[in-house]
Amino acid sequence: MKGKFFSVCLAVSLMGTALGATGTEEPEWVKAYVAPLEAAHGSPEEKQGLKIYETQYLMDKGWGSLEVGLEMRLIDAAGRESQRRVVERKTEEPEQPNKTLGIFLEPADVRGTVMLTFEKSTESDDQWLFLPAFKRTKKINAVNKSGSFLGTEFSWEDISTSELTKYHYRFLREEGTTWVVERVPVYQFSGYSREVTWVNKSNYQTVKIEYYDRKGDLLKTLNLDDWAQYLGRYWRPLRMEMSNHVNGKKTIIQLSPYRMNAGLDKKMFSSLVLEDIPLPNATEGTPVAATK
Amino acid sequence: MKWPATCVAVGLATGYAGSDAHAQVTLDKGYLGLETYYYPQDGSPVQKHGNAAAIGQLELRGRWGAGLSAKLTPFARVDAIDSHRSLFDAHEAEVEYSAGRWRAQLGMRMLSWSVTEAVGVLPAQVVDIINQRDLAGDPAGQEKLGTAMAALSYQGDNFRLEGFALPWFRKRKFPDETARENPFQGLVNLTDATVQYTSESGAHRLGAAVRAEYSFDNANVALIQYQGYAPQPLLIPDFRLGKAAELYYLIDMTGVTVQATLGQWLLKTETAYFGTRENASRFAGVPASYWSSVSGVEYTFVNAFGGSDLGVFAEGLFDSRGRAANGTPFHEDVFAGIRWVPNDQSDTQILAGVMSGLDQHALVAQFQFQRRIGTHYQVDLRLRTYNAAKDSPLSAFNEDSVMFLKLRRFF
Repeated sequence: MKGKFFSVCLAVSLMGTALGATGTEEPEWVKAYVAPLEAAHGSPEEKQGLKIYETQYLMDKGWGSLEVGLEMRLIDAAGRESQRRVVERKTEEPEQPNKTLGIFLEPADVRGTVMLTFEKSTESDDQWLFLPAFKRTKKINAVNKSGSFLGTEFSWEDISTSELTKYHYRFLREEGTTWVVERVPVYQFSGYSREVTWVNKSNYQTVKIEYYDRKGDLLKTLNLDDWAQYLGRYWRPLRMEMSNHVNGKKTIIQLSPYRMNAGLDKKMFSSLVLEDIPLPNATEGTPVAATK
Repeated sequence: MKWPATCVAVGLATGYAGSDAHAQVTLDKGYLGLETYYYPQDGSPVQKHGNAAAIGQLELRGRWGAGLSAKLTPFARVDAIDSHRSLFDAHEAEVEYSAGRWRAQLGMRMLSWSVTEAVGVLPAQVVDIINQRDLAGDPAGQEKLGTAMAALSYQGDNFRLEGFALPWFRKRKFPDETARENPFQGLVNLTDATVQYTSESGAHRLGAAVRAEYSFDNANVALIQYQGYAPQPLLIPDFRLGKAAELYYLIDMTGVTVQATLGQWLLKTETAYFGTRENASRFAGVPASYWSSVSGVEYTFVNAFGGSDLGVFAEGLFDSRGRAANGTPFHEDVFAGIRWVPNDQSDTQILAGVMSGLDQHALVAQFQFQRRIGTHYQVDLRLRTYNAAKDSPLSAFNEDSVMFLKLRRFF
């Protein structure tokens, strides 16, 4: 298992250095992972769209585990604001979707609530919720990925990791420094009929997404700004702004600097020990002023 | 006698705090609030229309690095109308030490092993046996008391094993005769009852429990073995007129809980076999061995009413003691209802359900509503109403109803 993981890291490093270069020999697991996707993407536009996201996906492998604090500002149509604070921990599993721990800090009544998610791209995630008031870990039904996350304009679908297999891709056009690629969610209970995404040509990162609801109408727009690069390689936005065009509400997420390759204890990503996770210190999860 | 374990835990904690300059003590969470139970109907002549209390809780944590930490969660309730509801309890007061896959905990703790919904409505707990219930605090059994224990656990790759030594059994806290939702309708006062134990060691007879939980992607399964006093006593006549005595007897419980997801379905069960250790000729009325179970399903409708989650659940309650069950009306019942979570900014949650007897007429309907107000406040509202035939154990509450309101400020 360990050897496998190292070979994945190696493969990923190779992919990273070979970025943009065509004709590089891909490792076996990448071929196995991508082959069904490539088979499903027939037209040249589909192949081009997939290639862009495949590059983005492979560039982002190898960070091991990470921790980041999220401060969410919820702004309603009348301009009233409320806040959420969450510490998020992720662990990267070789050849598997990630495991995520969300530890809620604010508002105070939900402080200490822990959400554990094993992501799946085409079916419902496995999800557990630890409720501190009852000291009880509930296995919850995570079929609905499109509902609001903590009352924000983000849904779980929007903030969970982008597994490559979650979408069907199609290249639309070039626009200045970006490629415009359409993604159609594969998951039958997705809240969207399609997403139009803008991908930065220089670093393959998605900088803007338009979400279209099941009826095909524009529902939300996400802008990802204040990009920072970690370990000389992994790009992350420190500011995300989601505007809902139907209800006039907006959510701005400000992220603390990431801790990547954080060396987190992987056995804590288990439904058996959610009650044992101590509340992060008050300073953790507090974003610093964004640096441009 | 009440505080030995607490004192040990707190003493240890402060001892460590004093010995290490790098100790870090934080207030993780806390609240202050008001709560009231209001009964619009008249009860028996001595019974009141409800109560009103101030409540508060603090969650303190100390950390000393290298896997050593401590928790202290004092809880207080001061009732202006019913002084028997007033309580000061260390819900948690423990030190814990973890090293790799091992974790040791010593002191007062609060655990929850229940997985079903019905146990959140009435005191029908099956496997959640470790913490004693405070029925004066909540007649539906949702308030618990901290339990003293020494616990050791080991975490494997997809399982966890826990062992508990329970040196101090706490008696159940009952409401007094003026309280409502009281099966004795003001005729029996249990607040100063004679307490008897079938073991000569009394409350200090060492109890024990073992729990093994397995985690699969789609299911969590736990096996529980408990040996000690049953938390619900047998009520026996006392020589004092109008009084009853509480007799706590020994049981062996073997239980299982399952929580599983299957697409849009959730499957849950908590089922246990209670073996009695007592000689029926010596202690009349102690139940022979029996089964008890709450099992059910929940179906989630996706995107009901635009982005909200609507769950519909149905659970069956079974107890092999039948109508002879020791005060429990839940020997053959169904609890069905809905859960609505609109995923809004206020974290609104609504649960409404009806529990109904299958072999006799007994209905309990409950409506629960919870939401945040502003940034710091949270409101809980519960409405419950009873309708039961004369031969039901619930007939004492016939056509009673209650409104429970709790407002808390968190910090």
